[in-house]
Amino acid sequence: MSTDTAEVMKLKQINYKFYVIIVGCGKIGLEVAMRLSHIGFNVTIVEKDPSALSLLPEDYGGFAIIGDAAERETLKRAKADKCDLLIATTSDDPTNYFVSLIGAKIFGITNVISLVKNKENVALFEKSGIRAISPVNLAIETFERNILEGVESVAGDEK
Amino acid sequence: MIDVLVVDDERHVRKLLVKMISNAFECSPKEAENAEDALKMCEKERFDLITTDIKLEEIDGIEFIKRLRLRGVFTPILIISAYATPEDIAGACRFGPIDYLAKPFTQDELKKKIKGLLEYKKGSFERYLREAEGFIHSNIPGDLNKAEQIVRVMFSIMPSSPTPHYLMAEILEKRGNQELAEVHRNAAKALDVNEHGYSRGDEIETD
Repeated sequence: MSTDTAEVMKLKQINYKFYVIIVGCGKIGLEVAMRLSHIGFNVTIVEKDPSALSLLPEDYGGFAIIGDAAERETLKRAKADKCDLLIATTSDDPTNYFVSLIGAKIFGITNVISLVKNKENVALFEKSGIRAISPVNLAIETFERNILEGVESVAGDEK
Repeated sequence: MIDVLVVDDERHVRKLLVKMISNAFECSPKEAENAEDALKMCEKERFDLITTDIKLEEIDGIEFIKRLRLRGVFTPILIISAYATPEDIAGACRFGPIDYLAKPFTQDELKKKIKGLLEYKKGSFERYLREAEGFIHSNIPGDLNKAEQIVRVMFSIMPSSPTPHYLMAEILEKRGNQELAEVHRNAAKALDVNEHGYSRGDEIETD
């Protein structure tokens, strides 16, 4: 875990007043949950597969619920009506979309962020008011930035 | 500043509870993984509040509460569980003061429940105080014994309060045990940081 910067210290004043539900306990969901709980968010992970929860590291401080988040009952159990932020991180776009929509439309969660595997789907998510994070797009952008920076430094050297 | 014990077999829930409670009430809660450890800790020290899960290994939460009460520990208890059935709660409520909070919960919900329990504790302490005073000053034989029982409960509810010691001193004095009465009076004075004396005790002191 990184040391606490001034920014993190400021965030620590969040004091667990901010309730976050994270759907999916995969590589991404797990790490996001870890980081948010470390900062001081009140975090609940919702995961279908009980064995995935055993991957939760020792210093994770938060809840874990076993269940299918695509079922309204599961989100209700996770107290989605009190939720400030919903994060969908499963590896399946339709599931993420469905969970995000239930969260936003039925439970009235204003802040919804979703992982989007297929970049073709990003537009659909955004049209529905869901903030979409596409690993493919992020990778492409990062590549592009790195390459451009490299070109700039080469161009700078030539001057 | 309150002393809290958190009993839960899930490490991450325990961790979250400790963090939330320490944030909300400026204290550093102690932790126990199972009911056995918790019972041992309750023998050694008194807590103002205990939070416990129902689903615990070996001894479950309800049994834990039963055993605590049998040992004369009447600390308010907050049951925190995802799976508690209405029957569980109803069964546990006989061992009050008890409240229930479903997992997961928000910081506000937790704070409200804890505040409620602490206030209940204060309220019941005052009720006991009045009852005990009544028994101490009645001249019916046997009432002193009743007063002593109530004072013992008061000790377990608020271990760091001087009031039960003042009351105990009164009782012992009435029985003619001056020596032990003095011990309790000194203990009361030692606990009485603000030297309030015994706030409701004017009638007792002048007796």
